[in-house]
Amino acid sequence: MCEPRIRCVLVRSAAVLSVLLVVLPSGGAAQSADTYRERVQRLEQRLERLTAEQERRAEAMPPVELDTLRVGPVRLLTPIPVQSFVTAVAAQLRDSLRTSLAGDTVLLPPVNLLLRPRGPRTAARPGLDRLEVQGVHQWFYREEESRFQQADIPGPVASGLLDVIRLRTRVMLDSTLSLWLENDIAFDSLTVIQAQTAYLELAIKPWRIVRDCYEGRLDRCRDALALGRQSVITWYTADERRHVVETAREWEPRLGEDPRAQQCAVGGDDHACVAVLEAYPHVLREPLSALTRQSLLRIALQSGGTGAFGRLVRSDTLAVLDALATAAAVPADSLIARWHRAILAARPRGTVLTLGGGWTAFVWVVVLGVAAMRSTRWRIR
Amino acid sequence: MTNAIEMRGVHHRLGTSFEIRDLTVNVPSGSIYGFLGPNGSGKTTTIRLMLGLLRRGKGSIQVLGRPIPADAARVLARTGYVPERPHLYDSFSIGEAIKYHGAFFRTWDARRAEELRVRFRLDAAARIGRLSKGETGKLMMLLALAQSPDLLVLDEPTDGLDPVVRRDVLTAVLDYVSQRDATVFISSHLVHELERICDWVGVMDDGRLVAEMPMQTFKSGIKRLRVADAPSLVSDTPFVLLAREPGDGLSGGEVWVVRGWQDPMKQYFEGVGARLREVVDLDLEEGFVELLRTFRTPDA
Amino acid sequence: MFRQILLTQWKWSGLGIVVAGVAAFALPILTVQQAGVADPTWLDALALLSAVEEWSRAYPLLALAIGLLLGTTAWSRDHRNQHVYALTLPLPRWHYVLLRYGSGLVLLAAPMVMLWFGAMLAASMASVPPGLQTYPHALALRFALAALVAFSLLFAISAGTARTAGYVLSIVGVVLVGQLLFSLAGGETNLIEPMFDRMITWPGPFDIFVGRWMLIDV
Repeated sequence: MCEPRIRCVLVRSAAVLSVLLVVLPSGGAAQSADTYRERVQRLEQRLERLTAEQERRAEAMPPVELDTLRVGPVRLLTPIPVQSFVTAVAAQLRDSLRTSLAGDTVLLPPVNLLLRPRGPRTAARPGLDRLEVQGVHQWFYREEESRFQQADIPGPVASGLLDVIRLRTRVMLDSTLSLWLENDIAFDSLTVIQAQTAYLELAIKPWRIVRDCYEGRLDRCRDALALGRQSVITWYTADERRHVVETAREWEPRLGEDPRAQQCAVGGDDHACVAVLEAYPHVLREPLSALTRQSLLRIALQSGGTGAFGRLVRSDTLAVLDALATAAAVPADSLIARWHRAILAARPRGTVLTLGGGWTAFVWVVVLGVAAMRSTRWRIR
Repeated sequence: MTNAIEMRGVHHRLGTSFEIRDLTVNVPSGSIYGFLGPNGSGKTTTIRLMLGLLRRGKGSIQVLGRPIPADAARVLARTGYVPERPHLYDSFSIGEAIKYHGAFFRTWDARRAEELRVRFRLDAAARIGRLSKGETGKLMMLLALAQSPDLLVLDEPTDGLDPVVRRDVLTAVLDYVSQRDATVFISSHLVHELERICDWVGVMDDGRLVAEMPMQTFKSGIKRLRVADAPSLVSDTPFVLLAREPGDGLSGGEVWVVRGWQDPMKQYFEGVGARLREVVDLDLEEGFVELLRTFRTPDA
Repeated sequence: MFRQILLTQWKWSGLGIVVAGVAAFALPILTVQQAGVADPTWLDALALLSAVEEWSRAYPLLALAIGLLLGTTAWSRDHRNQHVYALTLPLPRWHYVLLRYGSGLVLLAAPMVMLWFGAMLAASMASVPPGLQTYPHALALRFALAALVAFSLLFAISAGTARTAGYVLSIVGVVLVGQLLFSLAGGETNLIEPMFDRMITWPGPFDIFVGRWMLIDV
């Protein structure tokens, strides 16, 4: 059962990464915030167009070949030969959505997805060695037919579909919240791996603000999560700013030519550092990543229970933290505190030998040694 | 006279086909005890039982006044043992084997070990795995003797050795015994070899002790008699009639093999109307063969 | 006496111990080869953790290999001559076993110490990002315990009689055949997995082998 889970995480990560790759400025080119937003909008529009085109194509396929399965607002179109498989996928998807959103599933935007097997077309009944999902984007699932197991395969496919739906859902949210989440509306439950990833970031990021957050200063957590004042002055110390600029000069050629970068790195002029970092936002972003911020959304939705997603969608006029607190139905400070507790509790088991484990091993050594010493003397046949 | 080894009513089953039954052995202290028996008669098993290497079934075993197996470690500290097959670690050199072995014995005599090494012409650097059979035999005897033991248990120590090495090994044993009042328990199926050195003899066959007596008694008590006009039924003989066979064509009569013979017993033949023509002494080997023959076919 | 036993053990497994010692010393250093980045960012830290985790699989394997080497060589020569020599030495069986066991432990100490030194050297060499810590002592202790467990287990099995080994094999065989029969009968009962789980989870003997063997961790 572990294998599909890993695959599931990989698929999700790939989906998130693909969005990040689209959203992030390419080639490290310096862009202003406006240019950046414009570019994101252009890419989003392009993605919408492509999606619509694919949906049209899917709809245009002969209806006799297809069966339709509904999961809330999600319509799964599937060729008859793989109908039973897609039914299993739909069941898992339904379970996932029910767990994550309960009755709020109806709030999701309508999504049409065509799932069809691809691969050698010679067989009368195509196998499931490749399954193509058409809809918001193409997504392939590849598995050797001989290793195909009904019990295992629907899981990762359903996870992949959930990612597709999550990406689609961002249109429902306020653009501020959507941008804060970097367009990934993480409404599914916080997994152990996600929590551990957030823990690692909190534990190992070198910034002072993250260290303060790790040590329990919740106001600093709020800033580190980009929920309060958002500026390089709030987020980083003067030393950190200077250090980042100094380091960035090695890989950003334009900084080498910028006299402010010289003043910052060599002269230690903090004003120059702030100016450089504001002019080149890609050099230094928010202290905590979108993945960690998404963990806050997941915890807010989990805390809020039934109706949390609906409250989130309806709070699009509020500031991000207030919207999350409304969804969670708790005060903002309590939400941050809950998040902090949950993430710290997810600390991966360290290598430090536990007292119990060490003693157990020692006892085994003694037991086995005594067993050897009690070996009989009568050995010659 | 005390016994260095006393085994009383010992039973031991080895697999499904062989067992030691009701074995009683007494080895007098200071004697050289020859333990005779054909191959597979149970000699090695008996030795392993007496050294505590095998668990006895019933009975009791005492060696050097201590119970076996309870006090096996103390007994082994005073016992030099040469097993039937070489048991040393192949990867050792002779020098290493001597050092290793010596480390376990408080009575270890390093000077004697070196003397014997030189006398046996053993190269200290030679690997045990590459030694000839004779060299291995000499090394094992060296290790046993250098322990300065009170008891030497030698299981077929000269089996497969050439006459020169055999002589060296046995001479070393006799030298040792002459210097110390040690007991030697030596098993062999080479009867003539024991005849020269042993003063006690025990004969084993099929897991049982057939006879145990002083060598002199054994040798002198077994005779071949040529008898004429022997009666067809023989009873109440003062000796033990081991075998009775027709004589050769020339002399006629019968040949009797008897045990416990003494000269005054000649009168017995006159009493039954027979004539004793000749009394022939048997050597140990002949006596041994006759003894086994009788033991195996009691109706003969 | 002990010295001689130790010498024999060294004679039989010395080369393996030397190789294992070198491997044990090198392993932590190889583990942190990616920790040489002068100014690690958190992404470097993640990459480092990932690399450390990759290498971490080698530690229990090495511990097992060393245990296997010493556990089996301790008895192989005695097995060859049916323990006649060992049993004719003037000391109780438990004493002889203890000497062999002790000599194995002494030799086992060499790779343990080598790994400890290697781990301390690696920890001092590595440029560890803030928030991460090195655990050279804990790792070395864990390695030592794992190697001890592996050695003790194999030593005890080797010291047992053929009959004992037969019992152990019979139990394993019965479980395997039972599982096969269950499977053929269409049953879903899994006998092997729960037993395996018991072995590798606390308080099973192999609990020490599983988990994270991280020289550098959070």
